[in-house]
Amino acid sequence: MAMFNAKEKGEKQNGFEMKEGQIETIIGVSVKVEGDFKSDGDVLVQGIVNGSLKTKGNLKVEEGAKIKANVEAANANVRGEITGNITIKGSLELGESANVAGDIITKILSIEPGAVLHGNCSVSAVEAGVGNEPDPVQKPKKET
Amino acid sequence: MYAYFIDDLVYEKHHRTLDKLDLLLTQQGVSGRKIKLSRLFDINVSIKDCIASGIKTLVAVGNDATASRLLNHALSLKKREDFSFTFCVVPVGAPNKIARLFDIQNIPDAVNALAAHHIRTFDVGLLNQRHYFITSAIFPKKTALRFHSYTVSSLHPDHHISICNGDMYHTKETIASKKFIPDDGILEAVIAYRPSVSLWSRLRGKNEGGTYQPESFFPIKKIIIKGANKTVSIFADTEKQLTSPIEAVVVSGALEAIINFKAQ
Repeated sequence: MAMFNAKEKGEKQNGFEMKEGQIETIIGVSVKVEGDFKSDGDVLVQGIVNGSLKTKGNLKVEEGAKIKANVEAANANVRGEITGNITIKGSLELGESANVAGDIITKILSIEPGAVLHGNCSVSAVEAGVGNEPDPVQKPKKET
Repeated sequence: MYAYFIDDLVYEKHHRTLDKLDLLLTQQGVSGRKIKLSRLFDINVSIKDCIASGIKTLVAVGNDATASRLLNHALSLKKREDFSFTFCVVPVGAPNKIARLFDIQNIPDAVNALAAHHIRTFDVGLLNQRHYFITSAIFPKKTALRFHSYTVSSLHPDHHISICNGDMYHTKETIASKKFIPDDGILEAVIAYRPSVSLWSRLRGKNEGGTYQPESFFPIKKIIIKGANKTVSIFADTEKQLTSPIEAVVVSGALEAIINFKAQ
């Protein structure tokens, strides 16, 4: 019980809340976005994004979502697939169903058991921002 | 002072309703000039005449087609000749989405709203720099949204794309409930899909898949909609034929309308 409480507390300390009514953009399950997507608010991705994805707000990538793009956001919660580099100013949470192929730069990183990550991680207390972007992502080698 | 633009169809099919409306307007002290809108009627001349004689409130009596017609002429005229007016709708006939956007469900609601004169500012959408709409513009299948730097398309076979100002999908208490604010200076591009219903469910009368459910939301100020054909038939408050690609922009706070204000 104590452990559960500690975990819950930790999630609140590190995580962010994305209230449903405050989500500015929702990319639904059957929707495909192609190009350089930019937003100022919170973004929820359930479908497909190809190109690049930048938001000044928070990002939530749900299970089943497929992003082939470099991603920038204030905070992010990832439970879907991302092929590309991820730059997060605040905290990044990789859920158990997350599958990331790319480099990560973030201030706070939490990874749940079961999450898959192919790439380099840079986690530092200095805010991740412009100029700190990792090198362009290369396609991950297929594991044999 | 009020000017009531009454649709020809209302005279023909709803003359009893019109008598009732007349009585209510007189009782509330909000009666005014009555103008019959026939098909070949020059509505611009009438609006100019009303404004020149000091009438500030233009009221459409009829359905969405009547309201849309009056709204388009009034806003186009306002763009050319600077004047101010308030707009209201007395719903007679169907459909009446514009009246519902103003919280006006029926004739007594409309008369009460006119008497109370509670005004709210609304954004309006403008298509191809010509056609105004206030509720939503619904586009047919096989259209794609083109933003400044990216495009959005649907993978679902039975979908439609709409540009919404008000909550046309009745999404109360869902994820989208707070998205449709008609005076926030932003329109919402919505991709909605219709879930497929099995033959067995249809035979059993379960037609839950009959309505479109909103799935994706993109806040917009300006957008290009590319249709499958050169001419696209859309439903922007009422049916319209436009040439693709269609540019949709928000005109922030362009309309002052009388609403049926209900204190919470």
